[in-house]
Amino acid sequence: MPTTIRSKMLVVIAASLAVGVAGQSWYFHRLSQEEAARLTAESIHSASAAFAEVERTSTDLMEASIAALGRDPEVRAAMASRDPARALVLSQPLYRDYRVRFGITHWNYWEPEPAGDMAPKGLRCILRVGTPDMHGDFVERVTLARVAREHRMITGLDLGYTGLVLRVLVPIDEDGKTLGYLELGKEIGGVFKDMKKVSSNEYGFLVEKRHMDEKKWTTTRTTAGVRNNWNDMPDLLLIENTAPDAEILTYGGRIADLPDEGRALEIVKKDGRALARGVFPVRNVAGDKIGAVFVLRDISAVYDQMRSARWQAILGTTVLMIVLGAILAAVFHLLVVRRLRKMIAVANRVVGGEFDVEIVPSANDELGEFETLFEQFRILFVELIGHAQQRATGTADRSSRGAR
Amino acid sequence: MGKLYDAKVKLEQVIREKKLDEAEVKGSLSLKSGVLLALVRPDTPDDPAKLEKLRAAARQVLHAEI
Repeated sequence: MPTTIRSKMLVVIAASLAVGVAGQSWYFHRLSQEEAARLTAESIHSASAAFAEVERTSTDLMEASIAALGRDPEVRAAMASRDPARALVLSQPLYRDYRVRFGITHWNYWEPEPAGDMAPKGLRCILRVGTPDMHGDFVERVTLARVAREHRMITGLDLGYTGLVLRVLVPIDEDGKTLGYLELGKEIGGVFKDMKKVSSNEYGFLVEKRHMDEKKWTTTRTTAGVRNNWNDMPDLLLIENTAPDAEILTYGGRIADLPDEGRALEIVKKDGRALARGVFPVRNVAGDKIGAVFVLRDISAVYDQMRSARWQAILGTTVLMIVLGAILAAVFHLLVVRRLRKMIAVANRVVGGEFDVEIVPSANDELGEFETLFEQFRILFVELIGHAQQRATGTADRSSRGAR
Repeated sequence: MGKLYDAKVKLEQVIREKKLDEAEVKGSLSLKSGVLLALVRPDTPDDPAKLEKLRAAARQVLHAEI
């Protein structure tokens, strides 16, 4: 344990320095986290807005197109005939044009629901213009059930076996009788690549596996010549990814628990980069949260800048506190320690017999008051010693005279 | 009688031999031992306890045996 006031002061200064550095480190760490959270929230917001904008513009485009197609006598006649070959000949040239120009990937003809079926779960396919070999099958899907039940235009996202599709469906009626249903759809997986081009962020789309079919997914992946990622996560499946590494898009939470405004996740360190992760849910046409868009924003530059600023501030504070500590110690030495030592030295000399050493108050402060008091004590002490010596001398003289 | 005074004389001798500041060293010895050397005279009554304290102070301050 230190025994001098100066060493105690140095301990206090060192402890203050440590606390100051720790506090500053914590403060900058918090600032970094807040900045990362702000950037992530910004990324989530902009990605969510971009996604909604794509959905809106695509819906507008398909609504306008399907309204025109629904009025076309040839399309209506093909629908009424339920002849896939006739519908294909009629639709294929326009479908190719739509696909190239607007990215419309689905153009389907559906039979009307069986008479008397008030709550159909799906419809039977007359023709898929994009995949004409697949027809005649009965498909259960929310959009199909709703258009049959509600008998009005239905729009919304639907998760197919191969990905997320924005669908628009309308009933085709003739003289109060439903001829069938027409559907246009657009796979919007490609939207993430477009969003990446604009923002430089990476995007991934995860869905709950229960909405997907493992066999069909495996076939799709094999056909596309890409690795089957079905077993990468226990409950979720990454169906779209713009990042070169799928690992950074893994998620252990539940999509149903995500708030609509999205959530900022942790910062991932990968290959020397700091990536802020955020996620927002995507709802299907039924309003269910069927998937989530992951946003990865490279905040390495900001992160490095914050870290550099943090170290600079810590270094600056340390230097400043060391200088301040040295100045404080020097001032303390001059104002307190040196004067105390002088008083101790004087006390020593007076007790040692040098009675005429005076203490002159060196300043008009608390120690100056103490020096004045100490000087008064010194005078009293010298007087007492004088009296004691006189008494001792008198006693000795009397003793020696008595002896004579 | 006189042992305390003899000790004082010996101390003064050591201080002179070592060419030390007499007032300062005697002050230190007095403060450490509790024996005010200025008041120790040839006829000062002996006090073994005080003498021992003075010897201990001498060992500590002067590193000398008296």
